[in-house]
Amino acid sequence: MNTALSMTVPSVGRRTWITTLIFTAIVVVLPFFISGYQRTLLQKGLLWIPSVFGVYILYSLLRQVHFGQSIFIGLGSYITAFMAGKYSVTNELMILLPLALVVSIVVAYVLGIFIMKRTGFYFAVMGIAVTMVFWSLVYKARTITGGSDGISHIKNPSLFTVPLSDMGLYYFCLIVSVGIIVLMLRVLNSSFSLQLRAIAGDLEKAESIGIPVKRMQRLAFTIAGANAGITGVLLAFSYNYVSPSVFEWGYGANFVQSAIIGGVTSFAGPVVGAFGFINLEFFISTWFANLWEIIIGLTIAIIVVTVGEKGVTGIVQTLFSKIRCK
Amino acid sequence: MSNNEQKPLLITADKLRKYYGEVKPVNDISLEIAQGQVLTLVGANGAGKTTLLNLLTGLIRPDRGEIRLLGEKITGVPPDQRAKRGIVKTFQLEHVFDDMTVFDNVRTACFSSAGKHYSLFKDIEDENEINERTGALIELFDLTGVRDAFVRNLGHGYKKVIDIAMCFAMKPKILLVDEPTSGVGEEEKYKIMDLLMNQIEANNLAAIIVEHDLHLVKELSKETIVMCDGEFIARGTPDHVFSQEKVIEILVGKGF
Amino acid sequence: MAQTIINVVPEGTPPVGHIFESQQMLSTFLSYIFNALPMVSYIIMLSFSLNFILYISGRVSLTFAGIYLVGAYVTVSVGTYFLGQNFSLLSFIAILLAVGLLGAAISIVVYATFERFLKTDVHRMIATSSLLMVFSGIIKIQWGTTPVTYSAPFLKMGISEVLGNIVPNYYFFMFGFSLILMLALAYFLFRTAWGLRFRATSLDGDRTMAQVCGVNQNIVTAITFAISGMLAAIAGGLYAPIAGASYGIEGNALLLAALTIIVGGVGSIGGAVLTAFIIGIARVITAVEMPLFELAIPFIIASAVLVVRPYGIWGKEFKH
Ligand SMILES: Nc1ncnc2c1ncn2[C@@H]1O[C@H](COP(=O)(O)OP(=O)(O)OP(=O)(O)O)[C@@H](O)[C@H]1O
Ligand SMILES: [Mg+2]
Repeated sequence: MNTALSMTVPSVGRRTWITTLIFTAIVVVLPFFISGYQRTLLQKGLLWIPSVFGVYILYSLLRQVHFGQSIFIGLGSYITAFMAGKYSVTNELMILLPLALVVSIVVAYVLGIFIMKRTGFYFAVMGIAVTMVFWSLVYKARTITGGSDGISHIKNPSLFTVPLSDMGLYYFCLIVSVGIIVLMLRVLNSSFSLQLRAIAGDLEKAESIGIPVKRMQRLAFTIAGANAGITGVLLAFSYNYVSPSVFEWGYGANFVQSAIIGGVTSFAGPVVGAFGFINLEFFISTWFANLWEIIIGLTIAIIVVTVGEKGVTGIVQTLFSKIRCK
Repeated sequence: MSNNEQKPLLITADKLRKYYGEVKPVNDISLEIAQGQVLTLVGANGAGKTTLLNLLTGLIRPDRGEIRLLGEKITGVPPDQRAKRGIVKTFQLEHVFDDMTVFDNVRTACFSSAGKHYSLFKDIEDENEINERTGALIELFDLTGVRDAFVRNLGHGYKKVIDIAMCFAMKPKILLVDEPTSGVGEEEKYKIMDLLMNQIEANNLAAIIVEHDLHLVKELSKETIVMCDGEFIARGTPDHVFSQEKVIEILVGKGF
Repeated sequence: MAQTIINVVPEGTPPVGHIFESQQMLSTFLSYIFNALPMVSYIIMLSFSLNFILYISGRVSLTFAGIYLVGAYVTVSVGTYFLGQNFSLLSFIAILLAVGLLGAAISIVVYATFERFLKTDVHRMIATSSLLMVFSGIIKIQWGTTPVTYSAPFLKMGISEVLGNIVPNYYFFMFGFSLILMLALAYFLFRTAWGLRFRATSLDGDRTMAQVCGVNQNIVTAITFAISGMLAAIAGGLYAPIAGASYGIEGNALLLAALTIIVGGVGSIGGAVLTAFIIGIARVITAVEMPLFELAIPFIIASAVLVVRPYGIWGKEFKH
């Protein structure tokens, strides 16, 4: 359905790894210089990065818009809320994370059979549809999920049975997030992603040189879902609270918007996008509380019209290359 | 034909049929191709040549009929698995990966042929074997000069060659070539054909080549089939076939 | 089974559902159909609002859901302000038509100033979904987040007994109104000279050929957006007396319209109407029997269709 504009996907080189290292160093030392509240914002940003990376992979490699990251964040969050909150089974991260990972992989794979049946517009709206179905189920199954009240009083997590302090949780989130970034960078440089780009470029040709198109598309969707599922657990622990709003389609759209703000022509995109979106959200809602939706909506719309999917990182790249030419 | 008869059959198609409403591009066609047998297929526009090839590769499902590869039924097998088993087709129109370099185009096919679809965490630059093979293919098809160019910036002739190179990367048993020289200049035409025929011969492949240029057909094939409105109407050596009156009528009469 | 409470109304709106006493299965089934009428008309209009742009101009646009939202809120406000409890059918129809014009105007303006510049479908989806945020932000500033209602038309039109079922007349009015709109649209497309131009540029037609023959693509696309906006706004207006208007209803509109296209296929008016019946009735039945799965049912139907017939039951495969 797309008259795809040409879009070059960068390759991971030494520069990327050095940037990742610098980024890690910054987020490691930053908590010592900022307030506790700012640290929670930072933590939220870190946790958003893997989900935005999922959107990024589907967008930059397959040219698909993935509105459904909220499904998996919601699943991870509610698993945590049940296990560490409502039913008090366990608050052990080493149990909850693998559990959420397995659940999101299974759900993503099964959903992928249906919603990856067609691509483009249909894939996008099926993403929205699934998350709304989850929303309505959680909203209505009041006895189990607490309905619109959600589930609060989630216990603080423990790691290998050692309870984590707030600071401890921050560093754990940091490790997970950076770990996923490194994994995703490797995925982006693998033959897997080369073949995904082939599928996006010309589906018939890809099929006729033996690429199992449907299965690879589904796997990409599953990887995105797994990323979000893991962060769902940590987000629930960060807020100590879960409500059906994690399944709202607008929440899923926020990850797409983050990816667009950051840009999909650079690996730094998801990181810039996640932090950019969260800070934008924070500042606008403090100063122009009512105008939050209008401002963010218009911002994204204008970014898409003017620079397309290049986003902030794309603009910076263009500026740099112009300077270098002169 | 006689010298082909000792060789084992590679593909048999039995009463293949594909209708689009009133249009009958493939109307109960049966076809046998032996290993190493090279056929040319000619016919006016809309005769159903592309449709027939697509049925063989599985891009289109037949309404009726059966296809066998080395005796094994493959009618319901999807195109990607058929490609793995050795039925590979080039496209009539441009079908290449525009947003990649020439090297990456060929490399994608090499990865696919090696079955490396799901190696998620291994850097492509570290896959020495594949990269070497890609390099060899690039050299073989005379693409060294444009190795790192983006395909979208290249001319039509190059794209045709890249398409063919990707097919060879799949290590095919039979190559279905859909008008390799359409839209290509006179000089390039012969270059592409030479490359193609040399490689087919060197690898002892079976092939069906759809070609509009009857001079080329005469030069390069021992056996040719004429197709009209979804049916084979003549088959044999080019000299013999093109001397038949009905063939001349069809090919010339329809403004060939 | 003796007592079935039918409530197709979203959360947070006043209870306007009603009670049926029925002994026979047939009567129960009929009651489902009657009760599904508002949902069916809602789906027909919204899905066609999306479908029309998709089919005629080959573009994706989610703006219709925002226009639906505006249509619902404006109808509630204007109706309450001008008519209040003094309901008259003609003036209500006048309001609906005015709201339709407003929707058409918004749609054209958004298209001409904004959507026209979007280059790919991916861009269109992201940008127009962000516009939905803008729409709901504006609604929030103007009307707040508490639901508003205007049920005078629904209440004042009375009820009638059909085959042992008590059905609000408003249900028939809503269904009739949407059916007339669809018939008018079908007449326009298939019986008029302008309709021919529309079909010529559609996915079934040949756009380059149409341009060569002197069809002005820009005008056709602008009118396409206008019609789509009109349908969406009227859908909002017609449904408002039953369900009121509340913050966040555009998501539901988007969902049902999109799923209907998946089931019915692109570009088939008949397919849209039949699918609307299937999904509407299925939804009303689940709302009664298994309220938990009310929203899941349309999705399950759409998933099943995607697996069996990826291009929709009545749809054709369009290659762009
Ligand atoms: N998907 C389709 N739907 C309807 N008709 C089709 C479809 N594909 C092909 N046809 C019709 O089938 C007939 C044969 O098409 P085909 O492409 O096989 O011809 P061809 O011999 O390859 O011609 P050419 O020399 O132009 O490539 C044509 O009349 C074409 O219009
Ligand atoms: Mg052809």
